[in-house]
Amino acid sequence: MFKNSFTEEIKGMVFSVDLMLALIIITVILGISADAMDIASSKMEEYSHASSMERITCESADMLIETPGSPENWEELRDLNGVTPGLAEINPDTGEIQPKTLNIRKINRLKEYYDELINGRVLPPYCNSTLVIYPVDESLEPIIVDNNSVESDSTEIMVVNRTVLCNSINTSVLVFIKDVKDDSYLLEPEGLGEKCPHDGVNGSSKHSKVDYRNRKPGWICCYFRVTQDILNSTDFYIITEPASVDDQAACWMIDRPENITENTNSFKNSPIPVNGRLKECMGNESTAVLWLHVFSSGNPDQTFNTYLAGFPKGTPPEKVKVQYLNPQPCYFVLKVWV
Amino acid sequence: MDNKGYVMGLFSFILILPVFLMIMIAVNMVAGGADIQQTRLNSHEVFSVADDLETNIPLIGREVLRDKSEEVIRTGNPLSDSRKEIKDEFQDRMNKWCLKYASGGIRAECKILTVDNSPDPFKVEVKSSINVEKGTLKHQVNLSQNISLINESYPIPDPLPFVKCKGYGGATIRGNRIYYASSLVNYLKSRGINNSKAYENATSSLYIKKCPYNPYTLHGNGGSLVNLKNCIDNGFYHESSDGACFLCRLEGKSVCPHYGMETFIVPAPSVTLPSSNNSSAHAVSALDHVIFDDTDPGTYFGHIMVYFNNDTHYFYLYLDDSHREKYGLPPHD
Repeated sequence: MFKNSFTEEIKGMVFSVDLMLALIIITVILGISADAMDIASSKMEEYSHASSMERITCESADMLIETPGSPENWEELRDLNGVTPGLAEINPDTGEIQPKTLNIRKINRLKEYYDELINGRVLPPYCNSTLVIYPVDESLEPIIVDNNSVESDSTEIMVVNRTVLCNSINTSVLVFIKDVKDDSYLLEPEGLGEKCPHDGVNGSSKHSKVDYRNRKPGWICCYFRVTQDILNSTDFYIITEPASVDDQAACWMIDRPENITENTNSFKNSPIPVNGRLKECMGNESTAVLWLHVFSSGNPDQTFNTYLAGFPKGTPPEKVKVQYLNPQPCYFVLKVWV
Repeated sequence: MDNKGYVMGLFSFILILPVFLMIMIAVNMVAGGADIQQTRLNSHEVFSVADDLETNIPLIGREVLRDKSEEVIRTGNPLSDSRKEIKDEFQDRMNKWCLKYASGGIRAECKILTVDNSPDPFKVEVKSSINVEKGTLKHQVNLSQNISLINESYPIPDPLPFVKCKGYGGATIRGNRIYYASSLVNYLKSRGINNSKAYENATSSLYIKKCPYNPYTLHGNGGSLVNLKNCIDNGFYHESSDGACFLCRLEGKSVCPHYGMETFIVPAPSVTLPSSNNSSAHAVSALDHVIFDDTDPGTYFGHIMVYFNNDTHYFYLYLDDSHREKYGLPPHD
């Protein structure tokens, strides 16, 4: 049929009108297809670029929150050449990395040298970025690691939000006496602290352990080690949770086996600074083992958590909060743009 | 259909062809997208299982250590090769633990490679290899973790005294202390040790707890023995290159080549005190590795040292000069 239309055309026409119309339609379709392909190709390029940005941002955020950096103690180094930053905490007891639990010392160091440590080491040099860590508890202040404003001519912005644990103040807990309501094991006197030096001889009163099961009043005594170096760089406080102690009989004392005291102190509704008492107990010695003794009426409905905690020297009193003693859930927000 | 039986002409077919191609591409893209999504989910699941295993290894490991120690205490029989026996038991428990992931189509395997000493005598090092698979995804990680022997809620008891005193009357548990009754006297007498009577009704710590009076010279800080008393009252253990490590204690060894620990075994408080010139003021030194050292020169003597008296009883122990120096205590006159 096709052959006939060319060879048997009696009017000498090469194309029939049908064929010509078909070719015109095909040409139009090819033209439209080419245009569509061009549009699709440019869209794909944009998508691929965006995916690449997304990948870079996600992987940078994951690298920061899941690794401690290289070397692991990079925050202690003066020279940052060859350092790759990472913010994950390392458990001091086990040496294990705690992914998504951030170390405030590493964060502070990153804050000081943000551009140097991020550009070219975590993100490609052509990317700009900001990093802010927002505690879920809105009463706590956000940690602004770097917060440049996004340039108006930026073509692409990618934001990654990860949930992490972070403590915005470098605190240490020397003693934690847990509320009996949180752990049934504590109902047994064996679960409550150690035998303290108040053994009832040489004129001292005996510190019998509190018995919550039988509602008998008594003491919970815990030891802790302090050195002069730590004492000079840290403000120590006794903090209760809840801040207001319902147990009217509750009181505390700090002493050491070599110098036992019988003087008790009442809890207040606010953190109690104890550096003076610690200094008094330590004297001129470089290291000492001291004891925190907490008296309770034995009423299991009026129990409370007690912390002996250290905050960096000079921490404003309004920042001495129990929330800062444990890592808080936070949003880690990394914004990257080109 | 035309009158020659064709459904469509050649040009119509050519016109329709790109439509087919585009439909095929679209189907392919949708299927590919679903595959990528599924792979991402599987990957997340595999990593979560690996993390879960990593978290649980130290917890299960501590249970194994405690159970093995309690088994030795119950039977009085030492383990022949504690590292291997703990490794095998640990492996069995990890195998059972890994089975719980099978319901989700995940094949998890945790191979315990070694159980051995850690540089810290209050920890045991475990090396393991975790392998998690789901579909075509595989994840393998090798771990080295230290399991702490110290845990306030679930302390681990010291098995050594129960192995050593088996056959001599046995040691018993009273509260959180080991009560030797006459077993320690019989044990020392069987070895021909002088003044073994000094350890009649002696006691020592049951649970392994790390001493906070570190540096250890704090025990005798300023010539006072109150820290030593508090250390003995609480039954703390101390690091020692002479004392046995925990794994060797399970094998009934009181000394071993590893960096280990030691604790005090104290005689029962006495109403009267032996005179310092008397031969009874001289007995085996109070450290557990000295008392339980079966090798001939391993057991040495110390002089009596009263660390406390409550007007009715004297509390004392026998201590040699080198240990007195280690703990910052006054030497024997």
